[in-house]
Amino acid sequence: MSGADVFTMDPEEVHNAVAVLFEVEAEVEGQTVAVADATAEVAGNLKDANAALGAALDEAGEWWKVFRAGGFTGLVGNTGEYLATCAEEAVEIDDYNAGKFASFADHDLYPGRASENASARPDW
Amino acid sequence: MSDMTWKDLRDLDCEALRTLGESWKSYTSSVSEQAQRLRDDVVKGHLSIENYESDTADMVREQVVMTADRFEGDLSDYALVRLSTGMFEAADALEAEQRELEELIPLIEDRGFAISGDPHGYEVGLSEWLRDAIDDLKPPQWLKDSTGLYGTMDSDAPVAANTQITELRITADTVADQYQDWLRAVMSRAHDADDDAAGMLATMREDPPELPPHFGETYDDLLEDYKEELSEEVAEEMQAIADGSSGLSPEQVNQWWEGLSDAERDALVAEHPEWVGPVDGIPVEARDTANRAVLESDIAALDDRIAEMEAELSGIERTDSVEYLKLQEEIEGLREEQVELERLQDRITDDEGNPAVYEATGQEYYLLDFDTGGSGQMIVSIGNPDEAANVNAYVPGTGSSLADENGTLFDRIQAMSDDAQDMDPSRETATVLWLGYDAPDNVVPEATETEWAQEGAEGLESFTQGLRATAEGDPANLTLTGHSYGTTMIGVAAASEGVDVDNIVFTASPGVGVDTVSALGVDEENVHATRNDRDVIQYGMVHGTDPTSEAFGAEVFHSDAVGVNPKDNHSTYWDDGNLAGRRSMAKVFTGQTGD
Repeated sequence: MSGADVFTMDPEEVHNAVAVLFEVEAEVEGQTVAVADATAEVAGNLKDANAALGAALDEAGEWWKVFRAGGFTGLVGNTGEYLATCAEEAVEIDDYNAGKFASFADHDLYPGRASENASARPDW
Repeated sequence: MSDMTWKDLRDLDCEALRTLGESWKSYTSSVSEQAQRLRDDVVKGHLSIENYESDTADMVREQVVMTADRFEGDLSDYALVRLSTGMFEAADALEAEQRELEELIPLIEDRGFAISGDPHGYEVGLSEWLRDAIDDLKPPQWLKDSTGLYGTMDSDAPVAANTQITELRITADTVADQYQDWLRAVMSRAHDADDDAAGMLATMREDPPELPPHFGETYDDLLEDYKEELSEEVAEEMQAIADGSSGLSPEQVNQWWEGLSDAERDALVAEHPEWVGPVDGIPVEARDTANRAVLESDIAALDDRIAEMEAELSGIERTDSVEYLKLQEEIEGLREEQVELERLQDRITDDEGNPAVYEATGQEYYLLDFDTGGSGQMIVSIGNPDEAANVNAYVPGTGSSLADENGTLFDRIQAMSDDAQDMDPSRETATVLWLGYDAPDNVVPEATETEWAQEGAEGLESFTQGLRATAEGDPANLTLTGHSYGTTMIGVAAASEGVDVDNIVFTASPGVGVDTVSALGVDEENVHATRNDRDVIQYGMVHGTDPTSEAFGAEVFHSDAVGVNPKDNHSTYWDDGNLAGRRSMAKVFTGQTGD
């Protein structure tokens, strides 16, 4: 641990970290949607063939997309938004909520993450 | 539940399923790189301690690493093991049955049979056209050939015609029965593969591990809970695999096991040997270590329990009371169980407490499973099946139990081990005693029922799949050798669930649950059968067509009778008096049937 009295931050590097986090979030989301769509198509054919695997595969693909890959991208996005807020205003983790990202983040740096998106989040 | 019809199965695009398995595999690899970016570019790069230093910074870095770790764990457990490998396995299993249909359906249709009924119990009978052809004494050529009725048939001579019609009808019905068994076996294995794959995917959504918490006001508390759960995760996964609730196939179990660190694997063997020992898909060395530990601990636990009950017994004044007699009987039962376990331990352990070596072949004994329930079960191998070029698993029949008081079961695997070594000393053959089912205790009524085989079928399927999954190097030449009811056990498992083996040997069979070799899902030329001509079993064909008969279609080899007693001759197949039969078996075990 760094110790309670230490605090250094290079805001530019933190913004760069945020950019990577958002890129990873988008990349994983894109690839997940693609594999989930392919899964749904195969699952449909299996369902037509009365295979039990059809429905199970359909549900598994959707579950993966929403809860596990979706959970991961949600976490990555959350961390990115927290860091972006932190770079603007050094909030503590326990004080953070998604509304702060919408209010304080420099949206020129993060196009596509407008406050209207952040406000849709459950902890807004 | 799988409701595929034979037409659904025939038309299924298994290649699409396999391609989907590939897609999940590439997806796993590709998005793993993104997780790695979080570690390299974020934690070690932009957010390194030089750029960001504080308690909060430490927590952020920890959060990013936890997120990446969690995702990689999920990718391995779900995207790779379940979705990718699961699709490959389903595609392989369903495609194997499609190949059977490609062979079977043209035979059924071209020969004038008709399929009717439910996909879970198809019936194959004579079509109207074939009935008419028989009644008109104008049978198709294949039927003439099968009955040996050549030349002109005389419909103007009523008696002769009736005889011929009866003979033609019997032959056609026999063939219909064989096709029916074959079709039912194909559909049973296909439905089983479909249901297994569906079940495996359904269980992945049940009780998945938590994700790391999001940053926010409850972060600290949630983080503590998350870390606590994380520390128990591997053990919980192992428990779910051991109790069957994970739904993973042996191949998937093996993938999961190989994904653990050495420390995690060692901890599971040390702390939960009762979960590790019986699981197909875990390498034999680890199972052996775990099972020996459980055996030792079970024997010690019985010691304690017996001492406790004896103390209780000595406190009962009236030695003729119901309470006293009942307790006495319970103690006797426990003593018997202890003797059986100690006998097993003695057979597989040397004087120094190390794994015993079978001197004749120089191979170690391995304990793959044991259980005292029912008649008792045990799976013991001479030689390590994961390393051997050939694996022969012997499935014994009626009366077989953990007790094995006379050592008959061990004698037989030793004899087969000797024979395999004599036949091919250059390549190791591991010889397994697979008593992984509760064998019938008596001939009548128990051995006349198939329930024992049905109950053991899934276990035998899983065992063969497990050997395939844990094999090191090239796949072994894998044989199942059944004796008596053990052949029924193999036949029922092969037809209903499927067994992943190269060869089957039926010795002294009372029938294997199906009427044709084609229903077993193993190359027909690799199914062998033998029975000596004095064996009493020839009068007790209670489980279908005799597998040594021409109608069944197996490769038959000779076994010598020893002496004249029919009952004794049911159990002489591994005696020195049947060297011819033993040599033929050893050729199969060692893959030398073509020589």
